[in-house]
Amino acid sequence: MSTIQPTRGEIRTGPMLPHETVQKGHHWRTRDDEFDAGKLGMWLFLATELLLFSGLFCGYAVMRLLYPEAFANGSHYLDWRWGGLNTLVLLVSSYTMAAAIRHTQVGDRARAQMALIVTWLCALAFLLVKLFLEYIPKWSEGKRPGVLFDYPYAQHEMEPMWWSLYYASTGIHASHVIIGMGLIGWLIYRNAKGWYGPKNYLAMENIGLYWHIVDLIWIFLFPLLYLIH
Amino acid sequence: MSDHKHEHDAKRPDPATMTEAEYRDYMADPHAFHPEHHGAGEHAHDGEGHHVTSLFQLRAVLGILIFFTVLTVASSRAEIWVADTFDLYIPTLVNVLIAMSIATIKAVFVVAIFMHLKWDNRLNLLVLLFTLMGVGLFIGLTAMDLGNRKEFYDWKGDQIVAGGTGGSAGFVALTRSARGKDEPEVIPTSLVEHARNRAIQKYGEAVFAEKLAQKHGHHDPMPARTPNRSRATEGLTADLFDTTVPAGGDH
Repeated sequence: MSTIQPTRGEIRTGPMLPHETVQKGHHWRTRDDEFDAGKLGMWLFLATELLLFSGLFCGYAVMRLLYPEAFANGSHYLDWRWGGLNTLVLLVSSYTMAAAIRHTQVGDRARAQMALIVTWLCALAFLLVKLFLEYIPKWSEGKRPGVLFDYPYAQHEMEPMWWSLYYASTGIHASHVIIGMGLIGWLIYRNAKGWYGPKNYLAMENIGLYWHIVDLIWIFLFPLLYLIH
Repeated sequence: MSDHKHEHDAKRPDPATMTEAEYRDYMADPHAFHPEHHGAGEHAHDGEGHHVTSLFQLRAVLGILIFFTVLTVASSRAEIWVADTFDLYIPTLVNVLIAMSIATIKAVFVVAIFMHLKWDNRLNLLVLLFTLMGVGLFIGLTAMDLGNRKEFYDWKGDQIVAGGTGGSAGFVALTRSARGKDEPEVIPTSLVEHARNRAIQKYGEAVFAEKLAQKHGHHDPMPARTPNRSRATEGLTADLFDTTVPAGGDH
């Protein structure tokens, strides 16, 4: 219907990339409307995510107030160095995700791709630390949630409760990281095909928002679980 | 974004100033659902007006976030150092408030800059604020319940135990049966004691006491803990397992 405009300020020969020719959905009045509505939808989804985790934070608050000693013991069982390392890894990945969106907005597809790959690798590093340095050693020692608990050297009756909350909150968070890796992997694939550019990056923006929320949850989980005693 | 919208409003067609032909064209699609029919419509709102965050700003935020992470870890370690060196205990509340304040500052930077809320449609901010109100209700109403427990203790004092007995979590355990399957088993004690008893059965009293000392023997003698006194807890509750404390041990 409309004429195709080349990317801002760029003179190129060869076939057009998908992001240059893609049209808005026919039911949208303008691209801006499409973009704003898509983003609002993502924010509504993120609201439900925050409410999901706030239930866990609330459970943590109640149990900590009722059994402060069990929770003090619990945070002592965690090594703040692994938690701190994972915090840094997630912060860096949040930065590279935001940078990928910025590079896409100015049409620098190669740098955006590099930033996305770094983001994906950071997510992988986070999961490896979580699994091999935290979950597996603890689980094999018997520091397990609820009825699975089998740690003979526990010092407080309610330590199984601490482990229940620990595995529930970090486990749901880690599952979000796994889903995020899938989504970022999809972005990398689509970006390689040329789907994202200054006029077409809603998917990247929304997955970026999701990834920042995952980071945000960890920003609160880290002090609650590792630092407060 | 918002400038963009106002510009759009200012350019809204005014039927009073239109010629007959323009008016007919306008009435055919008054809400401009098909802007491609209207010449300039398509490219005026094609998504290029969005805010682009500068790389410098993104890097500055990353630096700030890392700084606050180091700060929150340092404050936690400092508290432990002060408690160990000067025998000075900082109330738990201070500990929690510092950690949560720093986390909140970090969260504001992530939401405002990385998630573009500073420049974004205000509707998205509204969604976030209403969500936070919901979170506040969850935690606030629960805190009200916890804060008023005393009323219930006075009322039903002989039926309940402050803080619970811990028994409800401990009467069923999963035990590996001879067939190698984990099956629920009713146990007479709490989970913690059950795990300990099984380890004693497995190793014998003497070996277990040795292992326990390896886990906890390096701790200093602990003063009695109260909710108002926090310190670098080394996983201790004095006198819980009196029978297995090695001679001269610090439990």
